[in-house]
Amino acid sequence: MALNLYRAILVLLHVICHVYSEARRALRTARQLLEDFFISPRGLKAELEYVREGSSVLSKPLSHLAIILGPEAVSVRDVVRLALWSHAAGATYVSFYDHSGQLKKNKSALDKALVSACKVKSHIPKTNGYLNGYAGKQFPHIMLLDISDGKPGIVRAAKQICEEVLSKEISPSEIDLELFSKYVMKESGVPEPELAFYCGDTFSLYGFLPWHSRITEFLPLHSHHNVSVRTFVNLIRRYNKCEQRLGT
Amino acid sequence: MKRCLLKTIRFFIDKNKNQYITMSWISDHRLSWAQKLGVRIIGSGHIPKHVAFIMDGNRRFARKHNVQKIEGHSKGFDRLSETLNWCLELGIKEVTVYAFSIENFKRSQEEVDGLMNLARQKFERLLDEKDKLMEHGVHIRVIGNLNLLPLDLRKVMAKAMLMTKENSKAILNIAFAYTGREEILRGVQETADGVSNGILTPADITQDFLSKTFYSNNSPIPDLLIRTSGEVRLSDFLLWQVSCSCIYLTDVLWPDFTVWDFLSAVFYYQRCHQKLKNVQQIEKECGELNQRVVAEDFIMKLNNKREMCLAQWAN
Repeated sequence: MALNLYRAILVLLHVICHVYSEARRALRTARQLLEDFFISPRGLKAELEYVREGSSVLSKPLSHLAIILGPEAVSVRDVVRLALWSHAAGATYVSFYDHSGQLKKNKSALDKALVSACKVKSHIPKTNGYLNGYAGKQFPHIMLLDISDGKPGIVRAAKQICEEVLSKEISPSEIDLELFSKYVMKESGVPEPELAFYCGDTFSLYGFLPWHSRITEFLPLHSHHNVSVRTFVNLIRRYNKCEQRLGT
Repeated sequence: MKRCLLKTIRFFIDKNKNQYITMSWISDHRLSWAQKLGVRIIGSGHIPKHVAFIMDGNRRFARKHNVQKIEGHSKGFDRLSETLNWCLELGIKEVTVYAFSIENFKRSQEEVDGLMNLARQKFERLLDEKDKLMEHGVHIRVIGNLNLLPLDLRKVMAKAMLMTKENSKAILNIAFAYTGREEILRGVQETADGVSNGILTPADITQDFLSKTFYSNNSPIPDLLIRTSGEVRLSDFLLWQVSCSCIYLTDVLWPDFTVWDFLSAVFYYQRCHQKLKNVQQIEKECGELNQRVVAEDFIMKLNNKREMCLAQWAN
């Protein structure tokens, strides 16, 4: 009896919390729409200029920005916008992580949109004759990742290093952090991200590259659908304030 | 009247006692009725089996209150023993805490020495509290590269692990001289040794296999990771294990962490655990399943080797 009562209270609390977070989401969307209409820069060119201006304050490197789409359905238009903004913010690598692999399936649609916007295609590591991991001359490097690049990527790197142990190219005692890290990075095709945005209400990595996320700063983007350039720049500024102590 | 007076006196004595005696591993701190009610309500829902903590903010706490750094760390330990109590109340069976990272060796000699002393003191206390630990069925495991630690500290840790190894009611994993990358690397090194000795082939390496070579190979993955003091990164903690876990971040400093913060974290987990279960399932399906008997044998030998090492250290 008492248990049922507790359970009823808990369910009620969950319902209230759900309504509250939905209301917040609606408010956020409304605010964003208003902002977009009245304050935000219009058109791609103005947006990029705004990002460049906003990220000129960056006092630390941002070479790789990862965006974890989480539970959200892929919106190709917004992925293209985010990719261009990230590039304008100075990131050489922009990776989009979608655990279900929808984005990889949508590669052709995405490439079409990318080519018309900046004449660059996206990359899936290890495919499309794109073998050596790190991207070639094309710039910026827009990478598409899914759950098979996470733990399975580390497993592939371990297999590869063991193959080389087997063929006596390296001895087991030579395997150290630096060497193994090189293998994992090469396997994934991207360096460690300094910053990652996650979509959705829940903070989870959704299987995102474990080896890479050692000191990545994770910030909430809430949703990548109709994301506004102001939200993006605010997050970049927040990243700039994060203090890394690296254990000391 | 007399009774009331006695009670009051005892209350003050107990209060003072608490301040001077270093806190025990299993805290006797009782919850207030409101806190108990909170625990009952949250406890009637889905409860995580394994919770991990990054106990960040001890030094900031010390700075805020103008006391020595080590005082902050000591307060942090007290908070840990209370937190373990809350976990027991709520029915959470396994807890993993990040006590000391390999990177922390880079701190000032004074602070590192202070932390080692604190750990030594707490582990000795733990050995003294044998009866209490056995009564509660607490199993203590230290995960990390213990080779990096002073000999005497390693000895008490090994003793504590061996003493409690048969217990299974509650499990406390303490990550000490630990980083997630080092853990993965250690596993890969062991595997590479196995390959070069001809026991394993590269085809034996799967997600499941690799995770069994880790220090934490006896634990299920944490369902919930709690990080205090407003930081938004993993700091090399359980990188492999938390890849699909729910992560709860809060701004409070670890020594200020209350039962309400803890209950909010569990509430947050209840809201998302189903969704994340599906992601974990997808991740699992990415891996190959068939495991050869030799691979299982290899893991068993590795575990035996580690246990022998502990026995050696304890002597």
